[in-house]
Amino acid sequence: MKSIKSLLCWVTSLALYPVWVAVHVIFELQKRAMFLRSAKGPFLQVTSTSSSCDVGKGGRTAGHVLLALNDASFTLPRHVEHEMVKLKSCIRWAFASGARIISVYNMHGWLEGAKESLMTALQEEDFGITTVLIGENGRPVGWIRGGTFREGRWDAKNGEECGAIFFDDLDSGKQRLIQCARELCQDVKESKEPCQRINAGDIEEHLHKKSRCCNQKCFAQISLRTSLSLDGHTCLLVEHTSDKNSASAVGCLDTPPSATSCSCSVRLPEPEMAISFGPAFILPDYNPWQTRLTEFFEGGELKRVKLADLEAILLRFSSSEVRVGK
Amino acid sequence: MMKKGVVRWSKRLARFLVSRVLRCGPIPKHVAFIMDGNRRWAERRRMMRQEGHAYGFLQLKECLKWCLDLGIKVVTVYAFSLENFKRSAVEVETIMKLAEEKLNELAEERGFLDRHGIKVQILGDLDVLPQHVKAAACRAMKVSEHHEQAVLNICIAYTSREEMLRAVANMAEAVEDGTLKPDDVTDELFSESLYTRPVSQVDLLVRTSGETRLSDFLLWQSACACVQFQPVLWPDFSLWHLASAILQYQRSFSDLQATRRRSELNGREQEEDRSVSVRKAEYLKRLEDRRKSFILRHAPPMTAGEQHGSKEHE
Repeated sequence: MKSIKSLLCWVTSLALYPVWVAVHVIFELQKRAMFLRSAKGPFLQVTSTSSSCDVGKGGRTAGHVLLALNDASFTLPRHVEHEMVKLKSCIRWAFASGARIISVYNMHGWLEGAKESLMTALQEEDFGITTVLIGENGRPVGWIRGGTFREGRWDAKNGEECGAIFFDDLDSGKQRLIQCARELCQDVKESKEPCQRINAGDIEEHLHKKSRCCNQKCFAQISLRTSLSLDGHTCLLVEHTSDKNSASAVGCLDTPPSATSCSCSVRLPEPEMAISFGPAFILPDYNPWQTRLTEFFEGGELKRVKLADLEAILLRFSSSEVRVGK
Repeated sequence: MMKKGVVRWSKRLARFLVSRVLRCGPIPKHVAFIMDGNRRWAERRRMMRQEGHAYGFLQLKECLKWCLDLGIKVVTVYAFSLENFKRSAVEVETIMKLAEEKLNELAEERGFLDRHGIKVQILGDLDVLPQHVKAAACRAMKVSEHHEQAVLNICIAYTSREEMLRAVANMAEAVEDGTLKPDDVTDELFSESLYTRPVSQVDLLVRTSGETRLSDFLLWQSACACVQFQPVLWPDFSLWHLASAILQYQRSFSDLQATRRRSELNGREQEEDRSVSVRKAEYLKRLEDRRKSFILRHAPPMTAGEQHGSKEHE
């Protein structure tokens, strides 16, 4: 009798399961439609020619936006190509909303093979502001709507707003924190620092430090100190120096004859907004140290994203309040 | 009276049906809750803030029962952040008193803990807590330390950054005294050094009150987790909200698995040799011993009933 009862229970549950899933899907679609309807309005004005972008009037805006690409299904180059078109649109909309640093992060590796072509494609764009593309290890790889070459330095125009697109490779995830932990342990082993004095500042210092010597293409010193700052801090400083000549390297997009090595450091602020693109809303494994107060939003599948979706997210973000424990 | 009985019976039946239906799909092993909205809930009902927190605790107990019905093994809740100490002294003191009262209640309600085999772990920088709260926390941990079926992690005086910093400092200390080498630091070892060991990875994270950030909660552990931000305030969180979150997890399950596999591949190190495993085991044992000695140092002496309960288990 008991076994018949439990079998009946099991069969009923199994039969009810698809009904339950269908009800849930309808409920979620309804919730999403209401969310999009509530955000309607000329929040972002992006014209079809990419020459002008206006930022709509809103509340809080994000200075650093993280675009996390979580779709694990892209394996073929044609998938990647289609996504590039959408990705460029998302970057344009993000700049139009007032963001000045865009980080593109993908943990599945499909960006790796496509980075070169993506950078080339981005250089054909005009986002309305001078933008520097930062590639692997914090190396700048190009300008969009370039700056002016003046007094031996390649600077943005005085007072002109600059933007940066930062392509985070796999190293930007948890592995960066692991590497930082290893470096701190190494410092302790070499007695550079006693372990009791390790504090949050040490971790941040190591996380932001990215040094690499390279004899490859070396770019002119790019100083964004006056052009790109958030909350009064210098948040993005990219320097290349020649070890033979401590003055700024000269030249543009070519290896200066005097340069034999360069090092670069990038200090990125924490992303205020992260949009996760993919079939499911999954938190990206982006550097966990930096996502303490990041607002996460679901962007849906990248190939289906529309301006209305982004407007809804921006409206939601603008009305959020950070209390920090209070 | 009869109407109340019918309503109670219907609720129980609904709970039973929901849990049976949901169990047809994959159930998350580790669910984390950010219990936000107690104060706003109290303000809307023109009640005192501390009443909101008290209702929040009752809701936590209910939620725990639902999770046990569904077969969820580990539940982690964000009760009090290190940042919350910035609130007014009166509110902090009230919350501390409530925490002490509820932790003692949890330790005294042995029946519930024993019946479900729930191990209580209080996670956070417990050194900053007042002595009476520390004692209550250690008491709750001590009476349930032998349970193995389910785990309830309550984060008090906790922030994820402090947790990660502590993990790095512990590993650095081990390197300094020669227990570990710098190259022994891996993804896995880092996870094992966190407060939430041994089950670190969160499968589903739910935050109430409509906020869409993690607020320094389980930042490492929540990578590649399914997340649900629900607009409901915590004291109004019901079984239906939990069911909706679980269903969302089940619909995202295949993508979640693919994402996790990729993330693991990214972090995979070479096969470690035996000496590395030995060093790591020694280091982890030291962490565990340190935790146990902290509990023994601060827990009040066990009552006769508590001693009898733990002897029975042994």
